[in-house]
Amino acid sequence: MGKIDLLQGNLEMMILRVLGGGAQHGWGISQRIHVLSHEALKIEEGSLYLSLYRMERKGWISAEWGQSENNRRAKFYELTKAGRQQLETHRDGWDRLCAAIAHVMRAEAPEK
Amino acid sequence: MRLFSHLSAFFGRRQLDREMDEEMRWHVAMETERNCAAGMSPDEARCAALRQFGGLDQLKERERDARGWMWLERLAKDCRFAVRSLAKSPGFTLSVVATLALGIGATTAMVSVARQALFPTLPFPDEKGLVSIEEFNPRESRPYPVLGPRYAAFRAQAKSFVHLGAQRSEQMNLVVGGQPSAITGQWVTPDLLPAFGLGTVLGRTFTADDYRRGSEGTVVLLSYQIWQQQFGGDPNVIGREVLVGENLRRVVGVMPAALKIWPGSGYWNVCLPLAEESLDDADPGRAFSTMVGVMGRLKQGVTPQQAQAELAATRMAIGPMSSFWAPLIPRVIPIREKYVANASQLFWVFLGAVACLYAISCANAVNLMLVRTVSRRRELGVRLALGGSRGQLVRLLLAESMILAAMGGAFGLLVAKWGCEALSGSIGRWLQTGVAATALDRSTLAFTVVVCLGTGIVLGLAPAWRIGRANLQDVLKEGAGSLGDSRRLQRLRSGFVVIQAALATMLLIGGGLMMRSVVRLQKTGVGFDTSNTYTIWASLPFAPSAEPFRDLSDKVVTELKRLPGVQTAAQSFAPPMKTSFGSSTAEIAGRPEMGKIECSQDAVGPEYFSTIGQPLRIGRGFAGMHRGDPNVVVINDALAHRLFPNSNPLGQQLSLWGGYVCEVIGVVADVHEQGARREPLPHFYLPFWHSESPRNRYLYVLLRLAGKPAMGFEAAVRKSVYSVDPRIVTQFWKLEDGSLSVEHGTLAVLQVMSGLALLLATMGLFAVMACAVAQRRREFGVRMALGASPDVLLRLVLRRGLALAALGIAIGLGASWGATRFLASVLYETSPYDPATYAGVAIMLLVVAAAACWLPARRAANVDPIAALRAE
Repeated sequence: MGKIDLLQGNLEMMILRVLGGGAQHGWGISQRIHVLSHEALKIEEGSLYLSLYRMERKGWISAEWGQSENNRRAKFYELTKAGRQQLETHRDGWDRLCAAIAHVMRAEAPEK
Repeated sequence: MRLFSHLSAFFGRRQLDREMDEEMRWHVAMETERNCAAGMSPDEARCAALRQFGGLDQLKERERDARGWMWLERLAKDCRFAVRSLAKSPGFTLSVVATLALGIGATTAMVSVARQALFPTLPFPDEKGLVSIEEFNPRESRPYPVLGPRYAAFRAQAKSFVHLGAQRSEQMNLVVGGQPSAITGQWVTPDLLPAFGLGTVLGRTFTADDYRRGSEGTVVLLSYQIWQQQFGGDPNVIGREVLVGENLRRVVGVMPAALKIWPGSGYWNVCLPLAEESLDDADPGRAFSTMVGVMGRLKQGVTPQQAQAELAATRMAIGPMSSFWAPLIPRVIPIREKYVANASQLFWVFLGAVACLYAISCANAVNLMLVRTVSRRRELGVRLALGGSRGQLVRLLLAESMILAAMGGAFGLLVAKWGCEALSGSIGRWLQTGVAATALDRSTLAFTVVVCLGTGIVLGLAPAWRIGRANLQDVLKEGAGSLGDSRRLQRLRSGFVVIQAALATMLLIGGGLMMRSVVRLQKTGVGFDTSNTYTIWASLPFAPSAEPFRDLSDKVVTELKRLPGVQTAAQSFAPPMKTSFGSSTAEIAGRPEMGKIECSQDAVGPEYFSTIGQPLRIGRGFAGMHRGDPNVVVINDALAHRLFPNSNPLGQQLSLWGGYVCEVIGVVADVHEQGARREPLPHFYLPFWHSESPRNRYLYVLLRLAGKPAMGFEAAVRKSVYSVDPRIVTQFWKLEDGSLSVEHGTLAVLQVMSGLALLLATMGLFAVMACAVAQRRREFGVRMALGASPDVLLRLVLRRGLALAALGIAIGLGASWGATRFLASVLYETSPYDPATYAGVAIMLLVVAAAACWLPARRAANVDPIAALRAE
């Protein structure tokens, strides 16, 4: 399968979605996205962390150091209230966008 | 909130960096583990993980950028870099900082002094409605104080005022802890302090009881300054008894520190109550000798003009006034005018002059910056080529210029501090009624900071603009010393040189006109010889009649003549430049049809004329005469001319004001009583013992010394006066032409400014020519190789430099033509378009310009063609 180009907004949206299921560390997030996308998406860690930091600054997520599953110190990210709202907005917007693009892409060729 | 997170991010950035690092490392470790589990070797697994992650450091860098405090860190980096780069060229840095320090310093000093001269801060809580009233003499166009009876009439009849009070200042002794010191006392009537609207910082002001006639001698108010100096700011000073003048007085209060300058009187030390009745004396002889300063507060809605009209209509209860006082018109002026320096419009001229100086120093600094940019083109080009953005380069240049401006400003403040002191030295006498011109206050500092910022931006923008236009390829291709684009730069810098020369020309012409005018004033002279004279003002203890006063003053004179170095000594009531005592008349006895002549008068000691150096035209002075001799008088040329245009005045009988008849025994030369600018007035001199002056407490003693006064001369004088009577208060005056303080001050200011301007402009011309020669080295080499003689090259460079200077001078001469008329009011017998000054300045500047170009020109002529061509 070829590489799919992700827009920054899309990545953020997916991170929000993953964190919607509970606190998670950066590596965990990348694994979740990989699995959830049926292994179609492999997130570049660089952009992942940049997005995480940016979202933290925007106040959508908060970070805390904690124990990972293999008992090592890891930084866990969690959705804030603003983040939860953001997730809803994104989800609505995404659905509408997908539907709209689908209409366009599947339409009959326009009459000349 | 956002700012807070930025700031905390900035100050906690090490912590953040560490955490970021740890998190990423952990991620890589996890990835490695997974890869191992998938069957890779540990090394392979780690490499794959790292590859997958992308550049760790780049990532961190991008994150740091995104955090938002980058601009601060970047600024710090730019500054560090700029400092390092400036430190590498100390010569350049030093020249720019010195130039800017001069410019900024001179501007700061001038602005702070001018601000205080033009817009003084008044000590009164409510300035509106506070006015000063004076009697204006339209013929002499100068103000006089108000006569006591006139003031009484104003008070009785005028309805325009809420408060109307009078004041008089007097020199007196203050004895604290057995130590006498000469101080200035302000006598005030009950309405004066309420008009000011000032309270006390300690104790109370005067009550109605304090003002009652008879109890005036019991209390005193201190100025804040004397409270600090003489009483050490002691809060228990209230109720303390001190000897003020002749009375033991109880301190009742201390006035606010802001009232440092008493309106119309200058510095003051103590305030004393003056009974209203004492100004409305029934005895006309005494009443007409009291002169007071009158001040008041207008009723709401009354304009000074209305009040003035009302005062002009008042009639005195007693009269008539002498012909001197009768024509005077009362004038009501806002109190502010008492604080604004006289001839204050000249400060606008000074501000213009200092603006020129500042512009010259900026042009100089910009020129130096441009020269440096040219020699750095290579470096800057390489930076661009290596990926530095133009924005970054501009930022770097701005950081450099800002640092230069800040350093210039810092040293400029030192210059300003020194400049303020120098200014108050040269124009302190001029400003004495205003505010002392020494302080660099907070608003001045703010002004300096703004000037520095502006200077920094201007300095940085000029080279930055050049960078913005530079073509990368060209910059890299060309050698540092090649011509190319720099010809346009050269033109720009030549433009700055022309401007500098023009501004310097203007300042020099201003200074030159002033100098010519002061020289002419000094040549006109005042009619007496001020060298080696010494004037002592003495206040003698109160005496009920004139006799003990004369005896005591004679004793003082005799005692002073014993001092080593004293040749002659004489009393006088009104030496020139000191007091104006203008009210008398003279007519030829028995011939009233010839008319009365208004004249000023004095009563002087026997050796007065030789002491003051006033030449005797015909007849004799009072030397060798004694009390009890017949009535005699000495008149001046002006009076002799008016009374006896065609006959010999000697032996004629005069009838003076009040019917005093005396014989003319001598005629002396005229003296410019009020300074060289004013025409001498008719004047007569009576022998000291014939004076029936009611002001029989104060007198001046003039001394003529053999040479410069020896060290400790003043102490010796005090001691010898003290030995005559310990109650006598003495003060020292310099008998000099104080009326020229405005002219001398203007001259001093313009001289310094034009001197600095000349220096800076010369430096600018030199720098530009030297740089041009360095850049054209190769061309000169070629010319020389092709057979040009050194002389030709020398002339080539000189011609170019002089052409620039000449263009600047021509523009400057034209601009001066328009600008010097602002100086016209202080010029004396000198036209603002004085051709000699214009020509002199032009020639001087050309000579200086030639000198500045000489060294670069020599360098051009000495170019070794082989070396010049081989280089590069």
